[in-house]
Amino acid sequence: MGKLRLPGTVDETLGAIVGGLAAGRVLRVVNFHATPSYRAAEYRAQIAAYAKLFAPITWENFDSAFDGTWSDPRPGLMPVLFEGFRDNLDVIVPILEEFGFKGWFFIPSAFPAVTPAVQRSYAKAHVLKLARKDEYPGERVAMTWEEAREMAARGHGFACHSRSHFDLKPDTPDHVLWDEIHTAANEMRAGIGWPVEIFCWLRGAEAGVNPRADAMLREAGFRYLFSNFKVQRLA
Amino acid sequence: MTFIAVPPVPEDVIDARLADMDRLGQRDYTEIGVPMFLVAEDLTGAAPPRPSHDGAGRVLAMLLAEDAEALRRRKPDLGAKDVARLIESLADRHFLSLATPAFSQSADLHPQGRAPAR
Repeated sequence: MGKLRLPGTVDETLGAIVGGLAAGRVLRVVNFHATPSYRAAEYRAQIAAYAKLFAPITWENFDSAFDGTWSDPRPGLMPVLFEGFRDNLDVIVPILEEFGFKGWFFIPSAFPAVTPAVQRSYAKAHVLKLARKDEYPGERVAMTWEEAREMAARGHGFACHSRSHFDLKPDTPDHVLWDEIHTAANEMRAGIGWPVEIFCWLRGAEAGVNPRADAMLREAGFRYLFSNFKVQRLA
Repeated sequence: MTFIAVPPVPEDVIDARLADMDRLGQRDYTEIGVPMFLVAEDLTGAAPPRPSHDGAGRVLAMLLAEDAEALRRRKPDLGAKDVARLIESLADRHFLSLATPAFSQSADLHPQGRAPAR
């Protein structure tokens, strides 16, 4: 786990979390990254257990999961698939679909277009941690935009995980922010076919860590920011 | 009026929770599914998210506050990573248990959708 940045003190953060939980403003997520086939049985058992208790949060009902107008008697669940790895499509998406869930792909927008021959070195340089065992030797490890569009057409959700899997800092200059936010928004829109409304930084910085970034996220059309402890509505 | 307070977390329980946090932190996060609770926060100035009234959030809030105060007895200067570990540990213990519906509302137990007769 790298350095986690907060906009204020730890006590302020804890107070906000405890207050939000006490008010019942809770979203339940399960975070996945690489999903290699040798763990498929483990994923299946886990998703089967969730299916007995939770209802899927989809892009169609996300707003109601956020604002407390959720109507299903079961709590909602968001399986979040970080990074845009190919093994998500091959291994865990079929399991999620078998049990009626939708995956939420949080992808760095530059990754799908990286030439397959250098995807591993790109991943290594950008803290995109692949599975311990390489199950695609000599082949690509990232999902393609064509696959992303197919996933979106099947009802799976998408979020922008910055452009390069970027770790936001309070002093990140504007030209870098522009690339990580606006260029990323454009690449997501071009890749999937419509704008995405959810954004998430590497290491989950929340609003307030860099107010210039917050303003730029709104300018780029992002409505929600996922962070380590919160889902924040920006616009 | 009698003031009812929950006793502080015993030292041996703190030891167990710390060991649990260490154990969870050793996992291979690259390849596993990690349940987490996130708080919904509206920054638009519009109506805040409406609360859910199932009580699970309040239980989680009390448990998190208790865990944080217990951890602070061993580590006065909590950091952001400690908060992450606390919530991760809370989710590990309660993600499934606090999603179970009320007895009278369990479709499995009451397939007709009625509360049990008294």
